[in-house]
Amino acid sequence: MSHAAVRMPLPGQTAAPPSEHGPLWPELEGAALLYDFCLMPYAPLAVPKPFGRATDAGADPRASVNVLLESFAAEGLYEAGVRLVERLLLTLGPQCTVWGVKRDHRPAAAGGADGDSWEFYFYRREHVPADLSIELVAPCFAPVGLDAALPDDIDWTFFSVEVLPEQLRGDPDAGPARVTVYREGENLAWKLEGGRMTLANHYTHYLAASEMPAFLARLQGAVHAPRHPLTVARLVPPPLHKAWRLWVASKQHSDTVYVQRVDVWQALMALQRFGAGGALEQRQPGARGWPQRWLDWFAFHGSSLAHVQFDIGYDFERVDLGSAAAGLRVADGEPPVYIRKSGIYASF
Amino acid sequence: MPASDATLRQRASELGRVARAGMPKPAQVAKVPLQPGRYEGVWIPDPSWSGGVVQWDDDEAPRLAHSDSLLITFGFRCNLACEFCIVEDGLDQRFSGISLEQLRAWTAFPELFRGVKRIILSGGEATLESQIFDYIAVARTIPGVEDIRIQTNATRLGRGDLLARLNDAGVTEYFVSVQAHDEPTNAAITKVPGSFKAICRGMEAIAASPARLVTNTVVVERNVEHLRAIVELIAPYEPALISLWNMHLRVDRPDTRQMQVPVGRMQPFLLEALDRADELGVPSTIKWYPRCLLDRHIDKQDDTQPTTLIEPSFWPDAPRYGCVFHRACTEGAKGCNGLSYPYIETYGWELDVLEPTFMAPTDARGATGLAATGGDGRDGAPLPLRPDELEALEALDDRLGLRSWLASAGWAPAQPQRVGDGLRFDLLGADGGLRTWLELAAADDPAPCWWRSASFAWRHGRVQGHAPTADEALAELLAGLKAQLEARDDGALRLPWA
Repeated sequence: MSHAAVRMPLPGQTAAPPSEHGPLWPELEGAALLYDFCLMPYAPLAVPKPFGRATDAGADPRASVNVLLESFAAEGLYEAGVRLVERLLLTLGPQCTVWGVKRDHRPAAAGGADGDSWEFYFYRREHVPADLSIELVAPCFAPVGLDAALPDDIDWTFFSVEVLPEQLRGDPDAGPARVTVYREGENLAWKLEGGRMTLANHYTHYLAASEMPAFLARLQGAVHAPRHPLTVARLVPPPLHKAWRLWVASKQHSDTVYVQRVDVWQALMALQRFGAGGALEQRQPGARGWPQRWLDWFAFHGSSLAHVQFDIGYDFERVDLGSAAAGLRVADGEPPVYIRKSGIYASF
Repeated sequence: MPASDATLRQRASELGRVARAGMPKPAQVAKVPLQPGRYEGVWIPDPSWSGGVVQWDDDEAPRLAHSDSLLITFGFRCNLACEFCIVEDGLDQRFSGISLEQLRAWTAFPELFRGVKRIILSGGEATLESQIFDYIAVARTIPGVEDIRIQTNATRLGRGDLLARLNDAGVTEYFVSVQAHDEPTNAAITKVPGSFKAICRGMEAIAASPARLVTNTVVVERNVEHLRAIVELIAPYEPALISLWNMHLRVDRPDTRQMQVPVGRMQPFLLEALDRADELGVPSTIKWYPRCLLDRHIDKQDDTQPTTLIEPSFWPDAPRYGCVFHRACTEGAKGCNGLSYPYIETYGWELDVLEPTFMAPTDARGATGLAATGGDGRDGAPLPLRPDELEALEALDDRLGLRSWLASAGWAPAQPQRVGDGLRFDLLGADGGLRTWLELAAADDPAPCWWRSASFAWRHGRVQGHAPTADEALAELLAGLKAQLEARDDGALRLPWA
């Protein structure tokens, strides 16, 4: 079985013909359920359909994994990305892998990474092969190495593998992929290096339908959220408030909001704002948005992805912390809070 | 079409789901089968012309409206320059709207207008257009249309014989823009000194004519403190309705003219004006204002809008609405759209001002979120079924084999009930620890659903239980249900009352 992907065209290009084998993504084959970034099931928002009207020849329905693959393409790593996805599909089967594409919006001068990174999340769920382990999926990431071992007696919920462009290019100095392990219930994640675990993130989540006050209290209490009337609107901008669950995570250098289950247009609007800055976002000088070519692709093919519920996450960081020590003074008004990094998630 | 336009139109169409905040539900009109070739050579506006709200299936004849009122835009010139104008960027004929020839061509196909009872003519100031009488004449020929409404500032209706000629041509309603209680305020908002008197003369003339008067006031910073006075100005003309609109900011983003009024500041003036309308016996409504702040006037909130056919480039900038409490608040389920995005970008979510009424946890909480697209906020109390309906359901179940399949899958259905036009029944997991519900309605039911089989639209509830066990159980239920129904539903099945 091949899961060879067919690249969809950018605006103005002619659609590529379907591959010999065709894309065998379950979401295009009438699956009753898709899976979000917690690998929890949801009903598709719509029947997957071709872009445009039926008369627009040559455009097949596309799977959400194309969003991931096009992000590889934006880094010149399309073939490497396809290989990685194919290996994971062959190893675990469909609908077992959560993917995330992440963008560091910080200016280079502020330590921002150049290019996207990709993180793959492997959950223990009933429909996932029971022998799931770091060792099982590690070969899929070649040439990227994984230097992480989990003691057998640790009961984990998922582990994730984050790869960088230079690692996928086979740069010998790039080092191994970053591996993180998470435990549900404890809601904690640890960075895993060799056999060493370092506490990384603390997550809390809230149902939008019933726990919004608790979410707002948690968000307003985050150290990186300035006490200002507009802060909540900046951190939960209008397009993103309609979701299933909202998360707040405390991380080492920032706090993070995750928005679980938004439609393609909510996702697109959010990604367009981050880095580039919208009406609400305070833009850090030199901040970098998402690659325009990738955003164009996403916008152009958005209608084909109306069945998908994406997940969005974004790290936010107030930049007045420590400013006095640095000889800086916060200007009158709201202490600035910047979007440090953002990510989009789905599964294949 | 250039690719960028295609993208824009597609996006506008998709965004319509959000952009149509407050638009009425799709008209419940029968499908008309598509006759291939029938519309050859005739331009039919695609959904992007209505912000995505007018949709039709591939096997259905196209349609122009999703509500009983259809607003046709044309002209796009105006003799006032209101600072809040939502088509400011389209005036001076930068938008062209629907041509007379297009409207006339559509009348050869009455099915395009199915469900439409009112034609509204607008754009800029419609009375400036010499072709308005032609538009009216064409609109009058549309079967089923009972009313012709003109949106106007009325400045040209209080003198000469224009009003009489429009009435004679068939106009039955005037939707008059009244923005101030006095000349200075009106001049500041409309930018045309002296127009206040003309507007009042126009209203007076309409009141003295057989046509109905409906007024529209957009609440902005300049007039918010005078809403009561505006009501008192209008009331003597005996309007059929005074319609107050919270600012619907589309063009001047991000509100450089500082027209938006904080909803908390607006509240006392608004309630006072609505009180006054009641005292004077004049019907009134308020649009695009949070229900939770309307107190005794909560039932006057009405965000419905007619189907509007306008250039697709209008829609991406049309304000959308939201509230962080939308899914948690009982008013969200009653049609409250919350605050506009431009407003939120200016004043935030107003967490200290809004007064949400939270739903009981058992109504709102879900363990899996699987029903995020299904059946919440439905109207109508459940009704027990009559004996004949139960008998008909037995026959239906003979075809679907639903009960026996559910039993084999470990789910026990409770007594079915009628909810609106749908059939709903609770389901208990075999161990009694899981609970959800299923609902089926006619396949062409326009509300969101989990899945459409050949005959029915299916919805389901959130499962009550603990993830991931509940997730998996519901997932299995839905997957199995779909397989069962696909094999048995031939498209000819109906609910007893359909």
